[in-house]
Amino acid sequence: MNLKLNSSSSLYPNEMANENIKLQPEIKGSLSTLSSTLLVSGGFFVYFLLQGSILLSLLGVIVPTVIIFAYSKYLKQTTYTITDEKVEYDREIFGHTNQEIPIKRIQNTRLKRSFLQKKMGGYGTIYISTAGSRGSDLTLRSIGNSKNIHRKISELDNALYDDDYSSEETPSNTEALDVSTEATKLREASEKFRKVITDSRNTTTGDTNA
Amino acid sequence: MHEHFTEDDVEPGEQINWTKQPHFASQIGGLILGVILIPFGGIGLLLLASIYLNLKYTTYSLTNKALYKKTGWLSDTVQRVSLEKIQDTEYSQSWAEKKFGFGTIDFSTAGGSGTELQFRAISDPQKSRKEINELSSKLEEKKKVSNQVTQTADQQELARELKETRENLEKVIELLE
Repeated sequence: MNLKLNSSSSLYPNEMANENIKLQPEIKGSLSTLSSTLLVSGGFFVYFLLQGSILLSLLGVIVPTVIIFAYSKYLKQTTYTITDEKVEYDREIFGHTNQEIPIKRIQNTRLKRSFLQKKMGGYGTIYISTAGSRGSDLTLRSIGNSKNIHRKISELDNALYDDDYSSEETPSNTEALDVSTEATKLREASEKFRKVITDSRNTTTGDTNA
Repeated sequence: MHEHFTEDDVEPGEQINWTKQPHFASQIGGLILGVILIPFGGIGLLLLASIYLNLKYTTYSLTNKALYKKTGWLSDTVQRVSLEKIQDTEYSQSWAEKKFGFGTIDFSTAGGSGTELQFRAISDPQKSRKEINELSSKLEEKKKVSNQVTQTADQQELARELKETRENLEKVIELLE
């Protein structure tokens, strides 16, 4: 897989670089999208071959080749990055688009795999819905190993909550102290302190008087 | 028998509480129409086959963390909603559905508008919804408890500070006496 590193500065400084998953849409996973193109051009090829005009039938080979080549180039410009804090979409064609979704904002996810994608080896498309407005959802299109990626996103989502719970497992230290009783004891000690001071002062003043 | 929804679809370590499939009676109209159309050739059989596949390859599931809906025979779609993210639930049953003991549950999350996930023609909708809501609020509760624990941890810290201050003070008193 061709990994493309982008130097865009991240909003999340403490994310771990080694946990990042970088993905790109793959042409093999997009074959269902291209199937109509291939079908039409195939028909074109066969029809003109039977008509006997080889030059025209060659068009039925050249055109889809160019389309597929251009499409795969286009797909190479798109990168999806999954870290433990966010899912990011980055596309550098006709300008630059970068979209980020924090994992905790993910509301629901959907994995869709067509028959062809399943047969080609685990390709699929993941749709991510966020808590924000309707239009801003993210789609990871035609990515490989889609099932595991979908599971990974669920896992990251749950990990956020598990972190919240983890403090529960470490109960606060050995002796249980009560704030109010400790405060009372402190007050009593300070009163004693005051008494001792006044007592000693009284005795010293008494001594000088005597 | 082929299992449509398996452990393979959920996150590792996630436990599946139950999986349910739509009740066949929800398709009663189509089934009757299919049977009627059988004498007229393939259409009836096609209709029956599509209804069969539709019922067989639709699975609803509750795990300890999320709700899943998986549909599709040759292609498939897996939809997942975390239990923490569920905002409100609604179930509905028509009169006939009530007789057969199934109904529809709608789940909404904070995202988008309307229903995000729908469990159609599920048996015991009332009980299922109750189960889901209980699990969801249990997770919510767990989150609250963990917040309380951190709060009491802060209080413990404060109490310890108070205690140490008192002990210091007592030492000072001892020195003076």
